[in-house]
Amino acid sequence: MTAGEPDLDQLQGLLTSAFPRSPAGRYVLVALPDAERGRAWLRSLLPTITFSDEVGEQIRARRAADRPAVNVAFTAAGLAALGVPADRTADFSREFREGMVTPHRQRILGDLDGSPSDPRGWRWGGPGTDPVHAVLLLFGADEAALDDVVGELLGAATGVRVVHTVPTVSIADGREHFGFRDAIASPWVPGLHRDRAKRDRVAAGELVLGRPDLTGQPEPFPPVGRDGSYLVIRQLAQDVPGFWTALRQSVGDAQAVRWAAKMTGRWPDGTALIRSPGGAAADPSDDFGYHDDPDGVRCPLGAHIRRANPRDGLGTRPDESIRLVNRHRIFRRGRPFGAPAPWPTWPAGIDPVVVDSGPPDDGGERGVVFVCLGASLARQFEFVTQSWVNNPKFAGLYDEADPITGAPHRRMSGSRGSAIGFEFTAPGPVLNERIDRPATYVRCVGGGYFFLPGRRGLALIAAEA
Amino acid sequence: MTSGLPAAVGSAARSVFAWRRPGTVTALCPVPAARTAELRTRLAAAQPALGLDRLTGVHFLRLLVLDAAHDLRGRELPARLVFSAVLDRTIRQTLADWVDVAGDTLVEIFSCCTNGPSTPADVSPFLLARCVVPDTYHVGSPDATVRQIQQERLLAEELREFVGRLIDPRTTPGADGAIAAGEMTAGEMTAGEIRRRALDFVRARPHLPQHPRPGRSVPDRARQVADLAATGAVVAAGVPLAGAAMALVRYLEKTEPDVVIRPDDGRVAALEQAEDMDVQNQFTMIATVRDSVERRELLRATLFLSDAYSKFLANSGRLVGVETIHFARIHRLDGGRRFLFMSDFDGSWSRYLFDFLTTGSFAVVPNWTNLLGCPKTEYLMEPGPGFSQRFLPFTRAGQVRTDVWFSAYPGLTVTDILRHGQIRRGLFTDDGPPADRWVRLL
Repeated sequence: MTAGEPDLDQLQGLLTSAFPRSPAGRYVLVALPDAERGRAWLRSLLPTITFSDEVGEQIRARRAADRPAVNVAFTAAGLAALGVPADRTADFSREFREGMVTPHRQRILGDLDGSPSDPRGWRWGGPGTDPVHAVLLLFGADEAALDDVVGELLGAATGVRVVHTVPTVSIADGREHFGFRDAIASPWVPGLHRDRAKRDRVAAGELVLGRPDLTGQPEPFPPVGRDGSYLVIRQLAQDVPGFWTALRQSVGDAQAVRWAAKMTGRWPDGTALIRSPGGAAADPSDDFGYHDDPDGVRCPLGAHIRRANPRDGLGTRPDESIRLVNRHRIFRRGRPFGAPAPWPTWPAGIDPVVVDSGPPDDGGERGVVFVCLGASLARQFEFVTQSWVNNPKFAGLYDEADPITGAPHRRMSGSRGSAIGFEFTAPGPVLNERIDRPATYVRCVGGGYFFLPGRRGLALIAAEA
Repeated sequence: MTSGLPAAVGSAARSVFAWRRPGTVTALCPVPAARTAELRTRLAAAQPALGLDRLTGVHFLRLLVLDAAHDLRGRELPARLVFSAVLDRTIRQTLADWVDVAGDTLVEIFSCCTNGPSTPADVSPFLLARCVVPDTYHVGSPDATVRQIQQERLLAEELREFVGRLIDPRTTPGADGAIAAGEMTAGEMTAGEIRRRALDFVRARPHLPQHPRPGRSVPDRARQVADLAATGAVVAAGVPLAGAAMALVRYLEKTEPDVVIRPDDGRVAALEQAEDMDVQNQFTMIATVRDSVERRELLRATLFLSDAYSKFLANSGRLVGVETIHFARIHRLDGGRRFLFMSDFDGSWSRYLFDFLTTGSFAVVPNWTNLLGCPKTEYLMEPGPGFSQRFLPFTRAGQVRTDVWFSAYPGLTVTDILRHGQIRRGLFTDDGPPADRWVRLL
């Protein structure tokens, strides 16, 4: 432990682990009853919450947890519902206090009215759905274990009402539903996470409130916020048949995987294009940058992973780029949901690992529950989404959003007029090559901003009179 | 602006040296405090009737109301209607056109000002009499006119579609200069061959530019040289004072009170309602200068140096690594007691401000540190503890609503404009990017 490092027993487990040894995961969104009963419920919940010291012991002992991990986070409305006075939450960030759905934030996140991600159509967290006060994040060995925990923690006597439940699935090889290995790159904090590449190392205050961030100072926070972190949840539905069908029609069956890899920035097995542009050899290393590929010849400038984490590729000075980029890193904790798409969906040459894992297709929705943590919603999640992922001008591109998750934007140029759509540019041998696709295949169907308190913060909230 | 003869001489001198194109103009028009609400209502209703898209050579234009205020010694500072624009032509020519297009609307607006015009014919003299020259002015795409920017956008977009057809297997052979049957494929073409075909394509389209963009005029070059000499002389005269100035700076930094200014949530939410409608955004900020003659003079000096830096060193589209600023100007108001910043930029407000803190801090922090409420620095440049956490809220707190804002080329970033200029240059001249680089610009 060094100065600035938080005590592990103060941090909820999600800050230090995505619980990879727990294949079953579930997000239970709840509304709390009156303040007094809500606090009583929280007091009863406290002994069951999994903190990072416990997670660390499990990792060191290489053993699975004896019981499912339980973490809890609250919306701003939830803190108010628990009776926390407004003056004790005023130092939380404005983004958290206002929530994910405001007209301006909809423009930042691409959840525009009338778009596929219009919050009025959300399953939860939208203006037309029941208010969400808290989320229980549960991770265990199997669904039965999670059922037991839900029964134990959310019994009728508690008065806590389940607004929505998002069960997750586990897909082999860490794949997401389009068939690509996901959640490979991540920032890390000394003392909280295992050591990774130096360029991804950030200060504790980039994740935990109350600790110095990369500037040497903490983000502003109220006392109840100490040792906590902001939590973003966005349930993103993926139209897997639509994605692959459109791509096969656009570039042909034989080229579909190659173009999807260009759009993603990785081959399906996770090998980065920048390390293996032709995909000839599997290369699991995540130790790479973009500085030597300024035109995007090996990895297109607009590729999803290049937008979401530009590494050393912004501007002309790699060290300066990493310093700047690391002020905007997010700590992802997402998991897929829904059954994998059936075989006829898939193009030639893709690994069947996705279809062979997870539950059988039930014709239902599938996608990813995007979850991330950070000490600043504005500087981290919102900045990455607006200025990099959804930015039609990212890295000097002319008029295109992220080809995988980018929100539709109103084109402003040329003969395309003001049509809504996507373009994706990948440098060819001599000229830039472009493909068009008419729609987005990822849309948000629910979401919210939460705060994941530390141990002391939870006690303060539970005791608030 | 500072008042009196020295200020007038300074303004006149800067006008003589005004060689940067496009130019900028700002008029500060006092308004009786009782009429500001009415004026805002009129402005909110006026934009369609202002006919801004019918004016020639107006890059950006804004109108906004500054509320009456008191300085730190309790003296009253009048409310003002601020008119500010970036123009290809002279302000006289532009105003004459504007009065023709929207004279009655302009009277309706400016008649709210003290001694405001009562007829369209009075509008131009009224504004000309209230024009001030900025202390600092930054141009993101130097020497580009509105017409050139719009034409080059068309050129780039049509060329982009042309080369797209070159490599699209569904293209009809021979159509629009695409590969004819029996010819080599696009994959076999060299970049030089593609550029030659592109030139043929453009030559057949008279609505596209047919020549390279003209260079800076001879009179402007002469003004530039004179300005460089004069600026160099001022800087050289100031060098012996630098040590004493830095000691003074450090003394002030250690002794001045640390005032924390936070924005009001409701005001910020209201400001955000107008943001991120396009890839371009605007920002207007008013702040009080720290209360001492020394700070006012320091600000004057740092703004002079910032202006010199922008026009002589950061004159290729980048201001200390920041390539998102179309135009920025800073005025000192009320005898140097207040600071007015107006900017037209690309991307989100938060990204713009993060640029202020990172790559652009060299150009921003030495000016901002002279403002009351700005977190403290060390030796003018070095951010003190907690600087970045407080800088954004402080800057937000100073932001004022821009009641009318116009851009002649929404959807275009500075990067786009510079790139389109390179495409044009590379198409018509040999001193542009080499062919293999040129085709990558499309």
